[in-house]
Amino acid sequence: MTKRLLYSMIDSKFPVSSRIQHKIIAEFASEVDCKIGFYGAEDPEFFMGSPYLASKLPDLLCKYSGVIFFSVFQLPTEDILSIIRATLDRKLEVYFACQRIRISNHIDFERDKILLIAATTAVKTRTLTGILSSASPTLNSN
Amino acid sequence: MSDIQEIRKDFLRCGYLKLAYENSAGIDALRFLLAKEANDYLRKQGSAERIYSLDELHLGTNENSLNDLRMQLITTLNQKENTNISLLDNSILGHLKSMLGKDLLIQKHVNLVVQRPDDSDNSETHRDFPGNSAFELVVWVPLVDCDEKMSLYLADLELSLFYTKHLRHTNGKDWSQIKSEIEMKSTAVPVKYGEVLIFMTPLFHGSKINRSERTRVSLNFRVKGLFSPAGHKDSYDFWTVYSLSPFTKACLEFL
Repeated sequence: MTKRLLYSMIDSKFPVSSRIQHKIIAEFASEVDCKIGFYGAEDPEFFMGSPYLASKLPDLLCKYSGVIFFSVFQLPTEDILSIIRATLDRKLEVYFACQRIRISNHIDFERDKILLIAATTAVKTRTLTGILSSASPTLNSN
Repeated sequence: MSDIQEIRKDFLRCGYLKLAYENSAGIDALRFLLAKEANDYLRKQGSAERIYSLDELHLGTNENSLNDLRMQLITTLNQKENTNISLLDNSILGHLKSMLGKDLLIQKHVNLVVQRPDDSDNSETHRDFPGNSAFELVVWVPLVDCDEKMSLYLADLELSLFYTKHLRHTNGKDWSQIKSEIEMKSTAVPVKYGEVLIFMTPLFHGSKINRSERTRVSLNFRVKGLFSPAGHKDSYDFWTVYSLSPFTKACLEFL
């Protein structure tokens, strides 16, 4: 039987090489009985709003069942929900290889979105806390 | 002005240049190997189709099997020792050294791109920088003759710099529109088999949907000065040392 095709999006800001990211993505794609058809990535300097993916989305359905990302953390915290929603609106599934997440439809999305927000916001907050404490050490002592 | 000076001047104006192999033995051997491997793959898949040159790859593949074959070919390429080095003859290497210096890193794994006729998965306008360092050069090697209909298009240095500044100013918000503008203003660079295209990583480039009747097959890899600033890639995984100057070798003795 022909496997369904996924459009792969690696994390272009993450220092792990694309070769290794591709392996991890391909492994998860295989687990969910899909395979990779093509590879894309956002420009690391202009990734807010995922402009590359946004411009590709309208054309993907004719060939692909979904989009597979390397990790939930590659999407901007501010945009992650809207990007997933926009992808699902196009009748495309969403996969995150590192976290082994599959979001097939809006029902799955409602189930998973709290965890997605919690995880990505927690990382952002951790970074902010680090910056604040190094800029103003007295914050920690209070 | 000597040929080399002329070429270098051209390169500094455009950000890219086209060179021809003086010795094509390395590339000829790779092309033969890949065609043989493609036929082996087709046979294993039970296909009756056989290809006689790489630009016929579309005859034995469809959109669902194309990436499997591509991955198979990439594995073959990179399991073979010194694939990257075999793609540089002395003449091309001389030009690279004149631009980057004698201490050179070369990308370990060569990429292979296959673009079937009318495949909607073209490589849209993008640039390799800043994922790759601005101090690297991309070497693009077609394995078939690429006329304007199936070649890369490139925005030259001035155009790329203009749009980079614009995108920084708008924080990339109008990327969709800018992408079309760049594509419209860029130059399609026909490159024949036996020639290579060398370009700077900050140049915007891409390829349109291949509207020819032949499959485009190309290789690409990057070269960089050993001591120049790195990009975002994991250096250990991405690079291998290609050449060292006598001075660097002498210095290394003390480290």
